[in-house]
Amino acid sequence: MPRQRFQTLTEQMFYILMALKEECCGTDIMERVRTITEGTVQIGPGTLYNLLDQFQEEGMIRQTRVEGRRRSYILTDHGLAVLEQEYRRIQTQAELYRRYF
Amino acid sequence: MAQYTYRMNHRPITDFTGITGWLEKMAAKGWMLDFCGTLFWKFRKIEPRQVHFSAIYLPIDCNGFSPVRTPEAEELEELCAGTGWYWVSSMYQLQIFANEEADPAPLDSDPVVQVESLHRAMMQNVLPSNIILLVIAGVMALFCWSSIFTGNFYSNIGFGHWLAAFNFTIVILMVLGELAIYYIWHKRAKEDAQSGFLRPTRSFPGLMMVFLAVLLVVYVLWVCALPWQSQLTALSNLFIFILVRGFANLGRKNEKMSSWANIAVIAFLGLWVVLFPVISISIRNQIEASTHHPQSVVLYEGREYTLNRDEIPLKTEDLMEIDPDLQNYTCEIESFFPCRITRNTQHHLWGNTGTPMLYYTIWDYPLPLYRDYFLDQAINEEFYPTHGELDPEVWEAEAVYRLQQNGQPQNVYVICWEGRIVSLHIRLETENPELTAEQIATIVEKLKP
Repeated sequence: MPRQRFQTLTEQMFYILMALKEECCGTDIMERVRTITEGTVQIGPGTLYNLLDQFQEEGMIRQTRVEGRRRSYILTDHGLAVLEQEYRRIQTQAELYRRYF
Repeated sequence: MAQYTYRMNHRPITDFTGITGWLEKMAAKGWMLDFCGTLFWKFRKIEPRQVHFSAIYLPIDCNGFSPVRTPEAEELEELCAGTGWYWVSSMYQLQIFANEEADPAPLDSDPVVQVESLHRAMMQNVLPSNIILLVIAGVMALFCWSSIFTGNFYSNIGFGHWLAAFNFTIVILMVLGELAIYYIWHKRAKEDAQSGFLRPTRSFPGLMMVFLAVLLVVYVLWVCALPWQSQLTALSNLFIFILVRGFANLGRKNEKMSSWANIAVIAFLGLWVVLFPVISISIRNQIEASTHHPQSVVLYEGREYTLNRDEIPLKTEDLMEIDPDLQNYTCEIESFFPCRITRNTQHHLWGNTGTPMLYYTIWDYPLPLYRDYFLDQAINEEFYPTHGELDPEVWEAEAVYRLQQNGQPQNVYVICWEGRIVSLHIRLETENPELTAEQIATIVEKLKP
């Protein structure tokens, strides 16, 4: 089944949104995701760039500052709602798994 | 040793696997991408080494078309800075990055995002431009094929029509093929991306090269089959295309061109390429070379008449008795490399007033491929929609046709000799309009090559 745009999030989308709980710029996002996931997930710059553009388009994040070539972003309420919806989805999956096994 | 080389790119911009693979092979051979031109990509000499390439598709609203490094593009470079990836060149929305580390982290880490960004570029740019191209080529092909199949037998074999129809059909096949390959890939790639796998793209550069070569050959043949005025128009159109494209490339390279100017140039040139064969036909240069005719002034019934005294191969007085002093002889020669068209007219100084009249066009052609084109022109006259065949032996010709009006044969003959076609409009004696065997023999003697 084709995925509706951001109805469900890929791993990369999920962690990028998580990293934007606090304002940060692109390079910091990559670093923060690496820290959050203890190095298990690495975000490619191309993916990050496209996702930041799409998240902004959907109103899930907003740009806060521009300093030279660096742009900073932060999660919006809508972005937080999408993130929480994804969290509940994963949680449901995990609970079902636990109940079954 | 040359420091730069140019290679033609036969891959569509959606084929990132093909493009990056090709660039990696070129780098391994010692050629690093320097600049993506429209058709030819420029490479500079380097030490042969392994270089990794990756492609990113920027949306139009992120200035994907901008040759200038925009803040958005600089942000992307900033993100790449710590990863070893650096920007090399761009073409439309396709941004090409390179990395010279041994095992670099991928530029794109999420296949879902990668497939979506490519699809967005496809929907914003490639699809609309291909649809426009398809519509224009479709209309033109329809026009050409319908005129071939609905015309009479002789218009069926009009050389120019066949070439144009063939070329537009090839364009349609190329566009449809490219779109079909993309949509099959996208359908499968979307599903694969859910499992974290990026399906490689595919194109057929060898086949594309063959198509382009065929298009070029057909185009050259088509230009050769045009009258010289149209040949000039076709060549000047090509020159304009090269000039505009050259300036646009210069503007892109020196970053002195806005995103919208780039889009406008691309759109203009795209339309120009498709339409300039049409322009070449429709805007036929009507300026005829001014011909200086030898003239004489004749006094007749108290009035002065200025008459042309050109030499023409067949004259009315060769066929009947008339006073040549009162005749106007005009010969117009059109150069039509490698052919020659001569239009000859002879009439009484009063003009077309029921007096004997002679008008004939001679098409001389060195190659048989022009025969059908000229025959088509000779035989398809507006006032003579039908024709009948005559015995060619009498005319010592390959074929002879007599044009008809309302089913009635007229004194208009199309005679085909080897290397020459003559369309002869002749009016001698009103009472007896039929040509005698002697007159035919004289015509043959004077006009047969």
